[in-house]
Parts: sequence; structure tokens; C-alpha cells
Amino acid sequence: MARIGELGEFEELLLLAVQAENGEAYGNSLLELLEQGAGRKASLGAIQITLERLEKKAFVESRWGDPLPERGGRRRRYYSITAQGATALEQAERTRERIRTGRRGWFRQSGEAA
Amino acid sequence: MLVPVFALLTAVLVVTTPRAVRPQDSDNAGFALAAVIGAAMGVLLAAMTQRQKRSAAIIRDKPRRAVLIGETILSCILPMDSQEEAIVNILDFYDRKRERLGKWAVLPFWCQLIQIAWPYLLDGARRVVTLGIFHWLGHGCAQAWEFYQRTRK
Repeated sequence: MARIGELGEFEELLLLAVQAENGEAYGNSLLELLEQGAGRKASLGAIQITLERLEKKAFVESRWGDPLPERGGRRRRYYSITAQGATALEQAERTRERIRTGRRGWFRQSGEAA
Repeated sequence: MLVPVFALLTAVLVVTTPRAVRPQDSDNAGFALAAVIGAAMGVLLAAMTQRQKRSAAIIRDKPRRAVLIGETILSCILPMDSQEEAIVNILDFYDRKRERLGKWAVLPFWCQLIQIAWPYLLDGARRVVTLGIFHWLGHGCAQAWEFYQRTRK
């Protein structure tokens, strides 16, 4: 089970972007999405390193695309979110919601769960 | 152009060298292999030279040349497993920027390139420094041991 502490702020943003791209996420598309969607200027290097970290944590998985003739036969690497990654996002959202509602909301949620 | 000519010349020389002049331990098979390798090298080098000539003709525009240089730098610095992904990403980035910025797209391209290459460069530099320190320490220890041995006598 993923804990909120396992997901940094940029990691969470990137994971959301990967989820939004629906299996077609790659470095440049994520950069564009972060720029337009979150108004966040990020570098390709930062995105690539963060994706590597997320893959190590098993929050995303990657697959190689077809060779691109215009890129000298090189391939794009596409990322998609794993079930564990989706859980981590949900938990991060739930934790944020609990903190937003304060103690009362917290106890109410615990009561509902019980 | 001189290199392939030289390689071909070597191959021809190897094939035509009289048997009497060859080293005693060499046999025909060895010489034939050397000739084949020499000829193959010559052909390969000639092909590479031709390709370079063609590339130079294509890359007359400076931004494209700068991008190719950047691509080569990245392929030299980055480890194999992340190289392909990084190069495709950065070239996509360049194409996207070129639509808006034209030839000035080279500037953000190089900014991104430096940001990608920087951690690997730092890592490489750190490794070199660490190795240097260990080398210096090792050398120091050896000197000290030698001094100790000499003074003991």
C-alpha cells in the first residue's frame, strides 16, 4: 500500500499527467501538459529523472514505441500509470481532503469507515 | 580521404608481399585474414567519409548543425539506457519550439540539453575527482611505506 510520504509534490503532478495521457505519455508530452495545465516550467531532465524514480517505486510502467525514421530509428518511451500509482494518487488526495476538513472531518470519516 | 586510401594500400601490400619477406611464424590464412580485415576497413572508412561529405552538404544551416552537435554530445555523455529516450524527447522539444521561435529555437534546445547532461557530467566529474583522490592517497601510502622500509635498515 502506497503512503503519501512516498509521493513528492512534483512526482504527484507528473503522475497525474501520466494518468491524463492515458498510456501515451512521454517526456515531451508531459512537459507540454505541465506547462499548459499547471503553468509549471520543468526541464526534460527533471521529468526523465522523476519518471525513472516513479518507475522504481512501481507507480508507472513504460514501454518502447515503434522506431521513428525522422529520429534516426530511435524510439519514444511511453509511460502509463500502474494500479499502485493510482492508489498512491487516491491516497494523496484523500489525505489532503482530510487535512482540509480538519479534525471534525477526520473523525467523521473514521466513523463512516467503522 | 587519406585514411581509406591508406587502409586499402595496406591491404594491397599485405596481399602482394612476397612469401620470403613475411615473418616466419605467419601462415597464408593469417595473411588472408589480415588482407580481408584491411580491405573491409578501407571500404568502411571510405563509406564513412562519403557519408560525412553528404552530411556536411545537408547541414549548411547553422541551427540544424547545432542540434546535431547537441545530439552527438548527449549520446556521448548519457548512459545507454536513458540516451535514446532523452534524444527523442529533446528533438521533439526542438521541433515544437521551432514552430514558434524559428532559428532561435536552438537557445531553449541548448538550455534543455545542459539541464539533461549536467547531472551526468557532475557524476562523471565526481568520479574522476574521487579516483584522483584515491590515486593520490595510494601513492602517498606507497611513498610512506617505502620511506619506512628505508629508515628501518
